[in-house]
Amino acid sequence: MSVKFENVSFLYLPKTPFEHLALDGIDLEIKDGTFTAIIGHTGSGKSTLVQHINALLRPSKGKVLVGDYVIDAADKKVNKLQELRKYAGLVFQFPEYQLFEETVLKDVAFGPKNFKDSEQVALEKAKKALSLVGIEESLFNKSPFELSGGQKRRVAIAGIIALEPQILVLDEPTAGLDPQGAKEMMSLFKTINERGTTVIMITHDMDNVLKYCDRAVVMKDAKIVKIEQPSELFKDEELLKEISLEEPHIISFAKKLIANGMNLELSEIKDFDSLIAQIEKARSVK
Amino acid sequence: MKNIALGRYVPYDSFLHRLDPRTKLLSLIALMIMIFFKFSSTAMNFFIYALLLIFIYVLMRISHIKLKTLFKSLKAMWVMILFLLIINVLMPSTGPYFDIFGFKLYHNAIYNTLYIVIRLVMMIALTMILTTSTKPLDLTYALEWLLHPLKYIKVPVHEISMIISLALRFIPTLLEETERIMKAQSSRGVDFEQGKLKDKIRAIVSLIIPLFISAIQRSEELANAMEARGYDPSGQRTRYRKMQWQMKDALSLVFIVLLFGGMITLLVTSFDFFLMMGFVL
Ligand SMILES: Nc1ncnc2c1ncn2[C@@H]1O[C@H](COP(=O)(O)OP(=O)(O)OP(=O)(O)O)[C@@H](O)[C@H]1O
Ligand SMILES: [Mg+2]
Repeated sequence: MSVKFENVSFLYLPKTPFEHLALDGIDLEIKDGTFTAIIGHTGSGKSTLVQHINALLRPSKGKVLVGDYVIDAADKKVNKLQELRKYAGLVFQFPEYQLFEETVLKDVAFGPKNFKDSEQVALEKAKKALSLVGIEESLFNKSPFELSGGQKRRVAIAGIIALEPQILVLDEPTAGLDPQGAKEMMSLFKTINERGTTVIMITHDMDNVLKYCDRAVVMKDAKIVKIEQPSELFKDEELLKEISLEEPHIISFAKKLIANGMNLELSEIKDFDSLIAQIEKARSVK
Repeated sequence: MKNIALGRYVPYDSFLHRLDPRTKLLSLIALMIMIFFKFSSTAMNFFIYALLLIFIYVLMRISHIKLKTLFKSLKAMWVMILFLLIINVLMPSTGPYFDIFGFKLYHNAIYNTLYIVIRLVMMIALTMILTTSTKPLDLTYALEWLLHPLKYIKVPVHEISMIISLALRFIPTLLEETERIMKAQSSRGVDFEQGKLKDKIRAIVSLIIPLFISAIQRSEELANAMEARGYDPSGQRTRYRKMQWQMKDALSLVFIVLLFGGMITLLVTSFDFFLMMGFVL
């Protein structure tokens, strides 16, 4: 049980002058319970890749295996498509555009109800999801369109979390959020991951990749160019240059300290806390 | 979603693509009028239709439109064609008829249905040729040029063409938006393809409301952006890219005028070679 891409290629608008190869022979396995980052330049095919996980897009070639579900380019139809969509929940980039119900609570309950939960159960799940994303009860009966941008984003994300998926796929969930809000969302995803949900996240924020993810999948020009632990990935300056990735701020900072003679173990540094621990260790050795 | 891409501008570099949009617009109007000519005999009608169909087919080939693409866009029309046939068959008529178990199926009824179908096919094909070979913006310039004389009777020509060009500009954006919202709602378990009527309605509502909201937001942003840059609809404006008549435009227009003139002549003289040759359908 995991997510597995087997030689998957995808063409947008095949057989037209607009034809575009967005995925080119992708092989990838994402193990259950992991927190995987998908990174790469704009237009490298990240969103296209993740939309295969819940069969919003079907491979033009190859096969995608998600848990027990198979999405094969050769098959006309995906078996148990609805079940798959519940198993793997996908949060789109700028998901606030999907809000439409009269109240926040109803909007979040919309998903569970579609998957045949009773009104009662759906509302329960919605309340739980909303409190997870930090939406107060006083907002439950407001129209989603009266909320602030950040609140809308949280409600939209709650709409997928309420499905209680086994795999949670997030397409740039923190883009455009305020720093505090982004941090809260990231630690929410970490919590969800620690409860056993597989989390797959597209992001451009390398500090988040380093801090939260176990693995980073690097895409470039419709291909996967690297799959690596973040701490290893960001250590290798040559590689970063080659695949034109920015290093996390915290790594640049640590590298400056090292250049100035401080003895730090770069692969141990994930965030501020671990950096401070390293600095303290270096000083005590001195 | 994919069928809507039909009739969308396709950036080839054909003779038709290079023609001035005004030439294409004028020719389209002329051809559309010709389609509706009715000649003195059935045989004559079909003969002229055949000529026009061949001409349109050649134009399609030139502008790289496959017959398959045309047929795909006609697929939705089967119901209408059937409906037309039924209406025509039930209309009392005169002349020769087939006798089907006592029911009189007049030849005229069949011909009339065929006329309508052929005209529809030609209209769709012509429109498709125009829109796949002409950028929407060029088309609005051409339209503005064509409507220009109306300015003197105080018709807000510029505003009208601005509205049209904005509408055209936002069609692809709205389609993209539609696809995105459909995907997002599908991820929340909405099934846009099947389901009971009640589910279908819910599915549509979950699409329409976000679509409207984003369209309204977009138009407000656009209006603000235009105002911030000092847009004044009554202002005198110049154009970055000037439309330029060329030899090929002149030749094309001469050809269309000759064709049109020829048709009119046939029409007013009630000319009919088939009758002359003693052939009656
Ligand atoms: N609906 C579509 N039709 C045609 N081409 C598309 C479509 N969506 C994406 N593409 C093309 O496919 C390529 C990959 O797009 P994709 O959205 O997967 O990139 P991405 O890595 O998610 O980029 P970003 O970081 O900007 O979100 C791009 O070159 C894009 O132009
Ligand atoms: Mg993307």
